[in-house]
Amino acid sequence: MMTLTDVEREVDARIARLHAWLDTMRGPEGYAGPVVHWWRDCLIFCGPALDWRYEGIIAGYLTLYERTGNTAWLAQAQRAGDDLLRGQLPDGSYRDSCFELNPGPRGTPHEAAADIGLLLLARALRARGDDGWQQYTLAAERNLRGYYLDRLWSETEQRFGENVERSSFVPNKSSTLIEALALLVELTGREEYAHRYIRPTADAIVASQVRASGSAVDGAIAQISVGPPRYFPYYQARCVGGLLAARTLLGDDRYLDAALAAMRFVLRWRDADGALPQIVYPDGRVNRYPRWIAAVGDVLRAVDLLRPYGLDADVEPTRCWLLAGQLPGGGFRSADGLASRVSQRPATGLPDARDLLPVVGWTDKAFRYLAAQVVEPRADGVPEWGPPLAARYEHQAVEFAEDAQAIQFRRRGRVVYRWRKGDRWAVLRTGTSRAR
Amino acid sequence: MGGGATPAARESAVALPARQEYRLAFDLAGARLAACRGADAALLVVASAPMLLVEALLRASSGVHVVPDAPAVLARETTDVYEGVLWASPAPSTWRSRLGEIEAALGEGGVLMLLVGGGLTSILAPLRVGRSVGEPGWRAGALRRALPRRGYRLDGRLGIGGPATVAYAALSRLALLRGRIDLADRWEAGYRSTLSGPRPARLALVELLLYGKRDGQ
Repeated sequence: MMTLTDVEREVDARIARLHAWLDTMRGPEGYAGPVVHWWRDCLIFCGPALDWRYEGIIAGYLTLYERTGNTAWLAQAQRAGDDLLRGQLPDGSYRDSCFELNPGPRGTPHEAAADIGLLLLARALRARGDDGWQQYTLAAERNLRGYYLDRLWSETEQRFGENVERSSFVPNKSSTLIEALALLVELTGREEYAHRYIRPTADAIVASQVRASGSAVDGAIAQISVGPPRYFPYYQARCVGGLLAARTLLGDDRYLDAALAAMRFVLRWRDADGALPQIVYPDGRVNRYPRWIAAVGDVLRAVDLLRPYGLDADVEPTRCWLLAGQLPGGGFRSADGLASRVSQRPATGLPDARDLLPVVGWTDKAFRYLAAQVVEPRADGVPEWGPPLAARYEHQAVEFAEDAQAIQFRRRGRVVYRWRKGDRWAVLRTGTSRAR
Repeated sequence: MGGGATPAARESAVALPARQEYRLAFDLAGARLAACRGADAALLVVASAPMLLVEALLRASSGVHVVPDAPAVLARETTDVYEGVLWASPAPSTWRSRLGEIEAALGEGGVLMLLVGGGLTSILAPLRVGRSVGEPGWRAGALRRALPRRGYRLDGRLGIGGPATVAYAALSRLALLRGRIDLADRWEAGYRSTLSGPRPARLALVELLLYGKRDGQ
């Protein structure tokens, strides 16, 4: 395993490769590609998707711009913001914003996350005196008002529903929404949003948190308001940004305390290798797999956000876990153990090909975190695709290969799965329908 | 890069969320049409339930026309050329007249894709939660027999879901009843994994049948 010092020296080069990889995942309408997730994957539909990937991509490029002053990075952020403007539908929602549930609009928390990207971009442009900031603010406001405030807010329950079909409350999704609304308040001066929406939402998140000193799950925030409680360490980290935004806006330290307690819960349950289990249950049982790799960028960023407030954590194991997941092409592996979702036994032998898949909507989390570590990143990185990797898919040995043109799994030289970059659909070979 | 469906096509009627097996079937149909006729192939959708129409429209990339096969399904956009037909799902009482419309609309070399009930459908129908009118239930035996006689060649038969789907669903519910949420989540993951890709068509929940229209027919 690399030492932290080695890793630090390499971050600029890693970001350069990551940026080059992101470019291979772009088409005229935006960033595309397959998705793997805990509940389900989206491997066949691979069209450009306007989901939470735009939060990390835009924020990451803005961070590179702010750290270097190089306007080429700002242009990258603006290009991503323009994808969202072009893909906004008449009702304010975004085309194919449902990530693992794509295709389809009105994905949560994805549209609020995309709004964060737009509003961060607007803020950066306004700071430069660039009038272009207003179009990005307007687009985000159209989405936030038209979808979240008009359709998902419950005046009776004083909270946001999960989506138009389900009124359940999901703290991490609502936290993303708080971040977006707080940025909107900052840019537009709509202070009424702070008291009418942000405060009750932050209060509802705090009310979803276990506070039991000495309990193994002290600090954990429940995933959803209905059904038996489950605590996902990754989604605790997704609550931190919104709680901090609410604290900054409203001056209520309960939100900071909640964020600190949530991350202490995460760190207590961290595995020795730096990875995080997928779900912790109230009785202490754990469903460990899949363990995210690229996504732990969000966890590391949450720790960094809380350091000034007293969170003391050695993140080196988790940072090394993340960095070891970068593929030669520049993208990051998504997970460890996607094939163990049922058995919950540690994978032995070859990794599952889906674990290796670099997904834009996960890699953006690594990108955003690493962007804050760079010194002098270059914009001319080149992916080094390397030889195919041995893997398994559907219980059989395959070769996983990626280059600038495609991602594919091959079994004995024949294509099992292939997504040609730029195509809307991937080919999945079956017993009755062969990939061409 | 294929374009997205027009905004008008995406503003769907209110419908129940589609089941995962239907979403997979429509993904496979979208990929099939793109592979055979290109990403912008014009599509005719024959739909028997709003939820099926919604999912089909989300995957359409350019000209779409809808033939309603139920009162709740409204016709949408028109185009003159159809390179593919997605028929979800044929009904025993209307398939003959719908087939006539399809034959008139599908161009030479076009792709006909049928979403029909599988071998498990009739067994499970009484147990399914929130089943709505128009969901695939009929296995379409008479239609399947008629198509070769009318010049259609069966190119693929993809099963979605199967006995393992049912077993995992039952285990998940049992674990929930026993208060073992961790086990319920594992079985639920198993249930979903059985719906993540096509399987052998025998004893499937639903089937996607892929036909080619023979030249000159």
